[in-house]
Amino acid sequence: MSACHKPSSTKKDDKVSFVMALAGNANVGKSTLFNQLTGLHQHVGNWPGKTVERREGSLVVDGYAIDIIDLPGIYSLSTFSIEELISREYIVFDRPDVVINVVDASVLERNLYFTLQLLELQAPIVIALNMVDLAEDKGLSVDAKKLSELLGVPVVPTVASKGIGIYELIRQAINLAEHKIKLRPMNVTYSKDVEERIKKLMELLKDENIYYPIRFVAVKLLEGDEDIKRRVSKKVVETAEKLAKEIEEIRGIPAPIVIASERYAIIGKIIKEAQKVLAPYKIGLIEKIDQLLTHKILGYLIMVAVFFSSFYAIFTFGDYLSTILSEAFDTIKPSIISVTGEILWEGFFGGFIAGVTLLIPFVIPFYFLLSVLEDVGYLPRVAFLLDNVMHKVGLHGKAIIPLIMGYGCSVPACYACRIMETPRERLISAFAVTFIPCTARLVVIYGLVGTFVGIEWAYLLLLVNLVIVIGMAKLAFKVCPGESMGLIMEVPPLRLPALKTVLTQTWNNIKSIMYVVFPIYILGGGILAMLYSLNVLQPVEGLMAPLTVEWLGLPAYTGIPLLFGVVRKEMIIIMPAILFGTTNFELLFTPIQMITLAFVAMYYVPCVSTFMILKKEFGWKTACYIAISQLAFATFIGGLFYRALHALL
Amino acid sequence: MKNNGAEHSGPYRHRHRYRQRFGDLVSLLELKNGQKGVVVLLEGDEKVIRRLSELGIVPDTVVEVINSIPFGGPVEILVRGSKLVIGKDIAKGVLVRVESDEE
Ligand SMILES: Nc1nc2c(ncn2[C@@H]2O[C@H](COP(=O)(O)OP(=O)(O)OP(=O)(O)O)[C@@H](O)[C@H]2O)c(=O)[nH]1
Ligand SMILES: [Mg+2]
Repeated sequence: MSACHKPSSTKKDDKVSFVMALAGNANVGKSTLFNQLTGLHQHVGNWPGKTVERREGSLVVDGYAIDIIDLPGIYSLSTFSIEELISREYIVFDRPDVVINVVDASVLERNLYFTLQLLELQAPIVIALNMVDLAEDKGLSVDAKKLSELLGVPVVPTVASKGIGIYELIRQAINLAEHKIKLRPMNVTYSKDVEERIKKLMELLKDENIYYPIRFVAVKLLEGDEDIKRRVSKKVVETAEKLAKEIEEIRGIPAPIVIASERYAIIGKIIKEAQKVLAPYKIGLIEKIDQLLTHKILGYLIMVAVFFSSFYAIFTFGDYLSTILSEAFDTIKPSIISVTGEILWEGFFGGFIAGVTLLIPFVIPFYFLLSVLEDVGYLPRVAFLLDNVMHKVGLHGKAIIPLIMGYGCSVPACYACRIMETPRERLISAFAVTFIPCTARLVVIYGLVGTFVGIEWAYLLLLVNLVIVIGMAKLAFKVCPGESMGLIMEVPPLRLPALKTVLTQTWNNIKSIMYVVFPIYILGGGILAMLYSLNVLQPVEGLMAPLTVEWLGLPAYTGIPLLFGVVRKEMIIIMPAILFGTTNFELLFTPIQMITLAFVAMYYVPCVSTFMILKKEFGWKTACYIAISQLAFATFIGGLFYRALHALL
Repeated sequence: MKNNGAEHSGPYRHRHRYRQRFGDLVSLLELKNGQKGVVVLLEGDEKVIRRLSELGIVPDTVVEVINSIPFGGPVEILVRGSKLVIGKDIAKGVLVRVESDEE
């Protein structure tokens, strides 16, 4: 991957290099195409809004070095969302040599709305007419040649998920970058009332110094674009507002809507010529299943069943695998010769073993199931079902997507909060996400409570957690100022999972564990064992005792694991496993202690990575507030919880 | 709840004027599953309306309600070949003329 941008063709290592950006609506296959082109593994999934940040990759083809930029999906070049502004500025200010506009052939009409604006922006575009397979399934056929003639830009049919049409696409893009083909972009012309006013504004804009094409600016001003307004003089803004009012007077609807309607009218004409309906729309089996999944009663029953059985399957499978693995490791334990040897073995290798037997068995099935749900397109359906529930806590349906992802890892889940439209909703949902037990915490719950106390107690902890998450979100809703918006979401088609996508996604999610986390265990284990043998840690445990022993009723040796848990939550059980050389936690904790420890582990503080993401997204202050409120909550409620358990059991 | 729903004033509040011009309008929420309507008017927060129009929900567009959740849940609609779900507060501001009446 290369981090540098080259604004236009430059020679490097005798290769001509270009920058090409992938832009288009959400969920049209931009990242799939990106992965095909670059061989990287950018997150793909069947729901709109996965890519939230620009990502770069590169490829070499026919002697050209090409930097590919994957942009977040957007519906318009207005400034409705932060992503739209970022993508627009990228296209205008960084000037990629080619903008590859990926469009979904099965929803061509809506996708062309964005294309039309790219044309107005005078971007150098090549169109990837993607998902032609899906369009065919829907009985639609798009005439790429006709479309290309009408729009005046190259159009290449592709099926990104199968790698079809990709070479042709990149060839066309190279030709455009090398000016071997010339675009004849169609003129986007509005009705007389609007055109007159665009001309008037363009006249005024001649004296202004802006980077955008002036016609684009004039249209955006009539649409009331806030960002563009800030870039021009006050006089122009006032004139634009006056002209927009005039349009509204004449047409009886606000100017932005007049302009949107007229764009759709232009698109309507294009569609008429370039798209044919081959077969009338039929409701197939998948459609019937979809109706069940989103049914007003059955949909909820299915949802509960899906989630319950997922957790059950993860636990059963994980437990089974965990047992096999630890038995296997027991047999290969060498006889130990020296004391130092013992420390090293128990520490370094113990960290490795604990990681393999405790983490892997639960994490792999989890991500496998999550990837299936994502690929099938189930998440947006859950968003639909739970919209009114989410409204009760100041969010809307889409927020359920980061929350579900939070059961995997809080870090991508906090990023995913960007699918929420307003800063306030992003904050509330990220706050709620930090209370969701990620796989690391699920490992603690399953490994301690599920295995040694009983699976019903593990479920109870998860159910109690749901109540806590709702309560916390509600609290955040009360204290956070700002605006909320309602749900407007595109529903991607439901489909059977593709094994390859699911496996790749699963691997993507767990590979960081292999590369980053295992070294941490091994190192952490070694260091811990050594420090203990040098009697360094016992005083620290003593210092923590009032909290751990007196208030929470835990053994003193949980103090250090809880500190390590700030790095990775599962360290809370991996550390004792290393120290005592066993994963049979019955020997170390009473059932009540296990439940209390799992409870505290679920909430006590965001791990370092989560904290860094919170800081990045919301700033130091907010990140600290969240961490402190969690610490306070976990210790206070944890102590009460322990006393309640004691009284009950 | 302080969600920016349809309860807005300003340039987007023309319902009565339109009522006189077009006869009875109903919101998306009042359509039954499978029923179609032609969009006449969008009411509500300016940003929301703009987003709806960018997604193709503009006057004279045919929309079909295909699914809905009772008790304040969202509606699912088919518009220009794509499926969208829209929360109750927003759907309330999309005013349509029921198709069959027109023909
Ligand atoms: N049938 C079919 N599916 C495709 C095709 N291309 C991509 N997909 C699938 O469409 C879904 C969305 O793909 P992504 O690449 O994540 O889409 P994106 O445009 O990056 O989406 P955002 O990042 O959310 O904007 C994935 O499930 C892909 O497997 C195609 O040509 N045909
Ligand atoms: Mg993407």
